[in-house]
Amino acid sequence: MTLSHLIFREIAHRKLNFLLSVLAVAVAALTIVAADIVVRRDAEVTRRVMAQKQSETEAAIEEKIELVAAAGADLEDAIRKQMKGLGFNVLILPESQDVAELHLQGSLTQTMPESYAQQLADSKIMTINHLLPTVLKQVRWPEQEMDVVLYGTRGEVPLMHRDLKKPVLDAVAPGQMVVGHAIHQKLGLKVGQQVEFMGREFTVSVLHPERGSGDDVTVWIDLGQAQEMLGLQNLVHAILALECECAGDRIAQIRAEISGILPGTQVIERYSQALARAEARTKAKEVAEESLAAERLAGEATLLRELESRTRLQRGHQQLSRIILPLVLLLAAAAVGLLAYVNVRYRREEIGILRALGLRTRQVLVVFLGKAALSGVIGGVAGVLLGIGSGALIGRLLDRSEVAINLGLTEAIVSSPGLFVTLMVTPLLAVALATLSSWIAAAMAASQDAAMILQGE
Amino acid sequence: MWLRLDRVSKTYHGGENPVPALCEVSLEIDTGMFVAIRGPSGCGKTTLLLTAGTLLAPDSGDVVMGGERPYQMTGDARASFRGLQLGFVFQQFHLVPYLSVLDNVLAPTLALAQSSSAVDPRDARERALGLLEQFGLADRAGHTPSRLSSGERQRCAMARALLNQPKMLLADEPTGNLDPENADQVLGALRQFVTLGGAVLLVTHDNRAAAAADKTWWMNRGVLSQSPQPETVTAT
Ligand SMILES: Nc1ncnc2c1ncn2[C@@H]1O[C@H](COP(=O)(O)OP(=O)(O)OP(=O)(O)O)[C@@H](O)[C@H]1O
Ligand SMILES: [Mg+2]
Repeated sequence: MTLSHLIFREIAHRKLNFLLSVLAVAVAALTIVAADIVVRRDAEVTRRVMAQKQSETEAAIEEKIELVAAAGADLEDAIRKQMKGLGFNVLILPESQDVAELHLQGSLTQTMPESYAQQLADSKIMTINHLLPTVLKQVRWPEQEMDVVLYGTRGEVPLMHRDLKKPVLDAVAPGQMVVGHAIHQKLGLKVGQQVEFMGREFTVSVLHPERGSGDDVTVWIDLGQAQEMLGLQNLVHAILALECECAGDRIAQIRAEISGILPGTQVIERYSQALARAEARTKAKEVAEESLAAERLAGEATLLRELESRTRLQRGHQQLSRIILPLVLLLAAAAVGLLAYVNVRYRREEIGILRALGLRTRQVLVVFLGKAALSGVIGGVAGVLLGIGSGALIGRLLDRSEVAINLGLTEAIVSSPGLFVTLMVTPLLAVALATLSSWIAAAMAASQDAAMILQGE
Repeated sequence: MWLRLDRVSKTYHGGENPVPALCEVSLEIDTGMFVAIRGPSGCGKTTLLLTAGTLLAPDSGDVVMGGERPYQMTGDARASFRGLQLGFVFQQFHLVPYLSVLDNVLAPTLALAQSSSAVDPRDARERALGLLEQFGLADRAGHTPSRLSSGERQRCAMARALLNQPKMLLADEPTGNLDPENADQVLGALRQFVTLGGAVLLVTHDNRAAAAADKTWWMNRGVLSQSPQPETVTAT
């Protein structure tokens, strides 16, 4: 005969009392676990919804990025084409040069040292590219009895601080001649043909197509030869350059920079109207970029809104569980306590005789608390098992969103360490709940006066 | 003397007026003695039995049992002392309803579980079965008390009282709910216990039951008198 035998026999004898007690504990344990699972499910649903929304906005942004790239490519292409067509569009001239002369006669008279080009190249200049020192003078082609613009040019002076760029204009080798459209049309020149120019022999190397500019009445030869023929050794009329793609008032920036490096020069910009077209394209690219930025902002706003609404929902559920959980625990504790009290009242006679048989106070306590603890263990384990199932169910009822309804007990929820702790701790809590709630009744039983009971029949 | 009560008094204060249940009661009972105490209802018989049974502390007076003073012990020590030295039989049997007859008889071993003289559970079981045999309950060992007759229930209670081989049996109206045949059986068992060296204190208002005792003392309004009082209560 042992106390546990006594406990088990009594439970078997008064099943209803025990089952009700187990039920109360199970409901409490179920509520704890279910509330925890609902909260975890909420978080998982949020994670999934956010991931979905994120990939949606990312796709939209990706689309815009492609548009920007396309606009950028368009722009680059346009600039390249224009540069190729226009050639150099920045002209660095001696300060004393009257610009009207250039516009009226297409030729220059004032000179500056050729070494200026090297000086620019050695500087850290940022606003221009591709330096080309030239001589440029209207001369008579005596052999052909016609006026032309003689253009002496050589290879580009590489800028020291830049990577070597593909030259915009190829240099003209000594003894060769590139001929503008009007001239080669008039003289019927062919590539490879020998011509005499100011008493020197040249081979026609390139015939330019019509450009509708001063280029059509220009011949290009090597800079050194041109300098000799014009008696301008080591002097040049102009340094041609290609402006960078910079925003804002570019010519002002270029002038500022060059005047710092080469005082006594002036800078003029040609073909600025054509560049306006490039600007338009720049604008298009900017618009695309702006719309990309707007898309990013909108995406962020959407994500934020979604997150806020999910957070609100989650907080609502947490508050609900903060109200329901204590209520259920309290009711369960009250029910268990009441059932224990009823049980003690029922067993007065038994307590009296057990005391008469010599049972100690502690043993009487053990009889009642042992029973309570057992109801805690069984109710706790049953509640945990049922709680796992009902957590998903309740989660679906509380959150009718599609993601929530389709979400089962996923790996992410089941394997979370927090839930593991809840599942482990809840049966212990259940045992504590049952035992503590029964404590008053058990203490009453243990303090019953056997004499009173045995006498009062 | 195994049991000695010296000028023991007890007054109940539960109701409106205090009820003096024991008034300076003194008595001595030794092993091998079978004492019956008779008296009218409400005279304090059960109070005396519970006081002697270490379950009800007196207001004053001295209680000595087997050389010890149980009311000076701690509650746990007194419970162990009671479990080892005393056996109880009540009019209402007080069997544990959900335990089988055998388990009811074995219930007193719970009190021994932690005492130094712990018995081997197999010994206890054998002795319990022997007692059931002795009281004609061998074939009812697995039944619950609700399926027994009154006589069988009281015999079960007797077997339970004897399991721990106590020094003294305290019987409160043990034959009160029994037919004469069963009553004789219970009284015979009490007699046998005395023969084997135990002491019995039987309280009753039943003439027949008292007749089984060696000595009959009288009680009236809490006062015990050891001289015979033939004239007042002779009728059953
Ligand atoms: N707890 C109590 N509170 C107040 N009075 C009590 C209490 N218990 C018993 N009494 C009173 O004490 C007196 C003695 O009671 P007790 O039970 O000892 O009598 P009894 O001789 O055993 O009676 P009966 O033969 O009817 O069993 C009675 O008057 C009873 O009413
Ligand atoms: Mg009585």
